Amino acid sequence: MNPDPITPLSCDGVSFAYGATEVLTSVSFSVTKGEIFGLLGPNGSGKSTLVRLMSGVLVPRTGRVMFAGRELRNYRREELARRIAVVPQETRIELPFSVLEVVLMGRAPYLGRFGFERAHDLAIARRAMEQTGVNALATREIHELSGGERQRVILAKALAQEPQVLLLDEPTAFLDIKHQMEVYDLIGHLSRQHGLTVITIQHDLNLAALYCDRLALLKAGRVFCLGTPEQTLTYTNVKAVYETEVYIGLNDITGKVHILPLDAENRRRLEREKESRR
Amino acid sequence: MPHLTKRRWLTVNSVLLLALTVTLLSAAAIGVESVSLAHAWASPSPENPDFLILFRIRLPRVLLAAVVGGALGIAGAALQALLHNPLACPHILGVSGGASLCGIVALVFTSALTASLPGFLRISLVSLAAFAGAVSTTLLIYRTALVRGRLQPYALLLTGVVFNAFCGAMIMLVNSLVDFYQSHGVLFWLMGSLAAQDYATVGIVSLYVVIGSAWLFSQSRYLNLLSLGEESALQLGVNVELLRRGIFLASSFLVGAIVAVSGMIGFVGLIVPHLLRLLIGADHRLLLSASWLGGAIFLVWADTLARTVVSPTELPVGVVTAMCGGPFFLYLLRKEGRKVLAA
Repeated sequence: MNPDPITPLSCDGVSFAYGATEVLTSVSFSVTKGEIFGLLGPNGSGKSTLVRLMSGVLVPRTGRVMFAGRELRNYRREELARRIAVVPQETRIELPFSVLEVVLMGRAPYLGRFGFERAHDLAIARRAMEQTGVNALATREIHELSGGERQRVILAKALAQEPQVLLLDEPTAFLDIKHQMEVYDLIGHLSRQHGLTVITIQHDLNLAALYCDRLALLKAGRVFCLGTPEQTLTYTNVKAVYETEVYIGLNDITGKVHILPLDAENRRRLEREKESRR
Repeated sequence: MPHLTKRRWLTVNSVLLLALTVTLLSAAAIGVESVSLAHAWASPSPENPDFLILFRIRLPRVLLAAVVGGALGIAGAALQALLHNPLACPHILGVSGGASLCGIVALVFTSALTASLPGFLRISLVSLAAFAGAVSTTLLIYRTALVRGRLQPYALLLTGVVFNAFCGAMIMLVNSLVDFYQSHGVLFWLMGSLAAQDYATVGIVSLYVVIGSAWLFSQSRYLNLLSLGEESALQLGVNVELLRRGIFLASSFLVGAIVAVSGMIGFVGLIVPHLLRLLIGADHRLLLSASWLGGAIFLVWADTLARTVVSPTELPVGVVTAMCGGPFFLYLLRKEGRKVLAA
């Protein structure tokens, strides 16, 4: 992977609208090389749109998305695909491709029009499968797999693109806790060992606190706050962004903040206590 | 299935090409009249009945069957990739129906005009109308089945089936209203036929089919990426919008060209890519060329059966393909239906 020290990805006053509905309003931030950057926020806060803008699939209405100091729209699509890879929330493949065939699709931006994959491409695909633990599934058909296995195959496909930036749209939404941690451990390893920059949407605040270096909390299409998990995941911020009461504590083992939901009764009790304190 | 290598690509295509050659030769030899190739070669003149039967009647028909079958096979495989639906084919989606309807209307309204035109122009005119019919049908069913940016598999199949029934009825209507003295009867349009075509017709259709198939084939690598979903394909560098329009146009172009000379022949585009996927895998770099060759082989044999099985009369070739395809479709619907239609 490229040892380029320049800021890999940045948004500069980015706004976007689907038709007349504005989804993002002057979003600005930049990620540094090798960091894991989390995008958090309630449903409809514009996280997925932001990821689509950063992958070059959408073009901002105003503002700029830059990769290594150059606007995304000035790259050819294949150039971009060699630098940025995306893992969507879910991938449905109706035709009976094998796992290896799907992972090799990640080599597409490196092949010519009629190109067949060379030994080099195969080696990269094999290594990506090794990393995500799907090597044993290589010859299986993609639809025979469970959701978790399929997601790791798609992750391997993304790694086979040899990207400098990995964009993840809630990659662990359909995974159980063991597989969630496996995916994030792998991502953490790749960012530390290989300098891979990761931007991930995450609904699970605890996983975000545990694995992300920095977080941006989005609310109604704007960046509400940005910083380390300790700086951002405060009681006031979480309450303001998600509009609900939660318990925030410190995990003894990891030393990171952890957030627990509260049931309706306890939320009301907390509200009352605060009222009386005022 | 192991991943596709150049070696496997060459092997599979060579085997299929060889099988097609054998098919063409044996199909030309099989028929109601037994003829001898040696005798036909001995005096190659129109007075020699063996020569006449082999080279003026059977060979053009067998070649036409191959070209039509090839076009249906590759169009089916491409439409399945485009629509993310292994149950799609030009016939089931109603594309052939739309093409036939426009073809027959063009034939009726221009028959006075075109009587004086040379054969290839007449074919091209009907092809053009059939092409227009195919394009508008594809757009119609695509628009109908697109709900909130997602193709609904049920709606897609249902629209196709209903539209096909509608086109069938309209073809009957046109046929009843006009005094139908053309060489093609209504059965030709509804069930397809490969009979009575000369080399000029075969040549012009082949030209169109080669153009359409070559373009589809040149896109085969992108068809693989399309199966990851539109957005993932876009992210991997595919110009999805251009590709989608191109596949629509190319498959409509193929269907338009062949419907004008062979009418509605169903199910080839469904059966052939499906069986081939089981044998050689889903990679479109191989599947498209193999579906062409496989479709050609399948239709040549289907037509051979159609013209010999109840001799001296002939079955429309569409009867034979439907007898294979109908039960096959039901089987697929049971097997794949849960997976595909649960979307």
